[in-house]
Amino acid sequence: MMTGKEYIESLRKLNLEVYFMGKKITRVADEPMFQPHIHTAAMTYELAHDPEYEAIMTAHSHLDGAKINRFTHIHHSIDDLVKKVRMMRLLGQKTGTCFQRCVGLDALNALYCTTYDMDQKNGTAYHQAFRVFLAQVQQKDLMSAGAMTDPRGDRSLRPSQQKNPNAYLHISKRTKDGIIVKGAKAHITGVINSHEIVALPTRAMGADDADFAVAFAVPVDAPGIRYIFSRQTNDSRRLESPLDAGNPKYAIVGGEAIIVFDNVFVPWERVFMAGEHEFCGSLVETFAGYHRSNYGGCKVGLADVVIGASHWIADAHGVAKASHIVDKLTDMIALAETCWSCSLACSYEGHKTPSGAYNINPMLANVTKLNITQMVYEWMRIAQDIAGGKIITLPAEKDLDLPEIGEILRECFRGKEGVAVDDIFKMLRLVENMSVGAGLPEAMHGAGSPAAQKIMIARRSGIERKRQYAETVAGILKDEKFETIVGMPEKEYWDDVRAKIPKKD
Amino acid sequence: MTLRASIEVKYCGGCNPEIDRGRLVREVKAVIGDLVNFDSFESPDLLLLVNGCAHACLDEEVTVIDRPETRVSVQGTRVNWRSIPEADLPGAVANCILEILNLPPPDLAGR
Repeated sequence: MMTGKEYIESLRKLNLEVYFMGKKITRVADEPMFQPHIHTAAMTYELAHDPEYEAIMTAHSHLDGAKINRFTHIHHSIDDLVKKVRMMRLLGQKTGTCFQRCVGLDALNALYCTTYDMDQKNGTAYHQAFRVFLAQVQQKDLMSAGAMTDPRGDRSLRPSQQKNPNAYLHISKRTKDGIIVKGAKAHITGVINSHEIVALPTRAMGADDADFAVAFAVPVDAPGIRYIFSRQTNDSRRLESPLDAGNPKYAIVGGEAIIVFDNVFVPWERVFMAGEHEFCGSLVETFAGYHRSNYGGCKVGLADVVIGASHWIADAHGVAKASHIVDKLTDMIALAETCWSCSLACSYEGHKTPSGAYNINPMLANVTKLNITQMVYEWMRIAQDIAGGKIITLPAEKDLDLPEIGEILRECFRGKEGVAVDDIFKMLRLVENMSVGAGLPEAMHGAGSPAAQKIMIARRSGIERKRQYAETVAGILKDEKFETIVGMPEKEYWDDVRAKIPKKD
Repeated sequence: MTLRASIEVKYCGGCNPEIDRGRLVREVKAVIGDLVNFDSFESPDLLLLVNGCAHACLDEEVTVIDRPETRVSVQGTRVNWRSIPEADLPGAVANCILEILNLPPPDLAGR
């Protein structure tokens, strides 16, 4: 397993072509704008070496029994699923932001399950190829970027109906050695500081879309791949002032990029789906389920940070014991723990798949993520409420440094005796960073938008069974247990009851 | 009298089932009840574990070490981890039982 430092060093060996703010960046590991994102991903490596956290951060490979980073592990028990979400909460607490590596973990697990199912049905050999790739990921402790979302063009049209075929990543050519892919993936978290791209299809597909039904792994610096890094709220502050940035060590959210594939060659041993359109739906559903289950872990870890920050700010201003502050903090905690309960529940209610890997309970995973799309906004709203108007009126660090006004400003923002005013600035900026910026829409749309979760929840609602429960309780359907308890047919029982009701004169 | 193979049926607790477990077992009995005995509970030849959902609590509770009998596990709309459309479950469970017990399908057994 790599340490955090070794991970960062490993990035220096990669030769990526990244574009950001109108310039080309080739040395990702040393680019100032990317440093916080890299630090956050490094935490996923560093904690695995700490005896205090290794029980959660590490696992034993089912392939060879070796101790590995849990971010490369295939879940093989309910305990694995539970430890995965515990790992998410832990890393959220340590970084206060998205640590990026879960998407790759979920892509690995989804492909493990689906390639097995494909081979069982079609007699293909994708699963064995995937296991070989997985062994490399585990042995080298590689960071994989799960790349699912295509640009998608006109959403009303299927991939094969798009005017521009590059709206979906697709196979442009098949050779005896492999496939050549063309197109793009969008919103890909952590990809510029990953080692491997693990690409998956983004939706269910039909026979006409077979060339778009493609899954594979390629090194991030494979020929023909370019990246355009996305802007985030207040991102350039980190280049101007560590204090103004809010969370200068770990950034605001994961760090997303568009990946452009321009005729990229993928050898067959790294191809895990090439035309099996009938398995796209189950692959997408499996990936989405795993990924949605995480959000009651990672975002609750972030909630732990922002709840702590809110209490700190209230305390620094002498109002920590005010009843309305206690009430608001309690609301934040209850909201966060509700989401945590969802993540634990979908893990504890998980199940074994034909591949031997374990999957989460998909209904509860979708409920987890749907709650996150609402509750994160609510606890961040309360954090803003507690923090007060200062989080939108703070002066710049550079103004604090001016000798003629610096001390005056500090007096304006001072709290109770004994609290350093510069610490108040740090904490207010942290709350601003976490509650105002890109982290909120990330909670909304990451792992799929709310409508996608509602589709899955409705599909698995079991509404017919619920109708039967209602019909039985209401006395429309036969209630065998009731008749056993009262010792007679239900109609006879109610006839008897009615006969005993006194008649009015 | 021919000795019939025996099956013990065990149900999970039924907290939030995806399927009607009782009806499933009745339908399986209707298909293969003439070939196997569902009423014997001593040293059965096969355990039929009827879980209401994929979590399959019974699979954890009824360990192979304690109960080494051959088993078929229904896990909601899965049979031994294979997804099966709900309407096809009785036939799939019956076929699985017959296959394990090395019995011919009902239509070849002179029924």
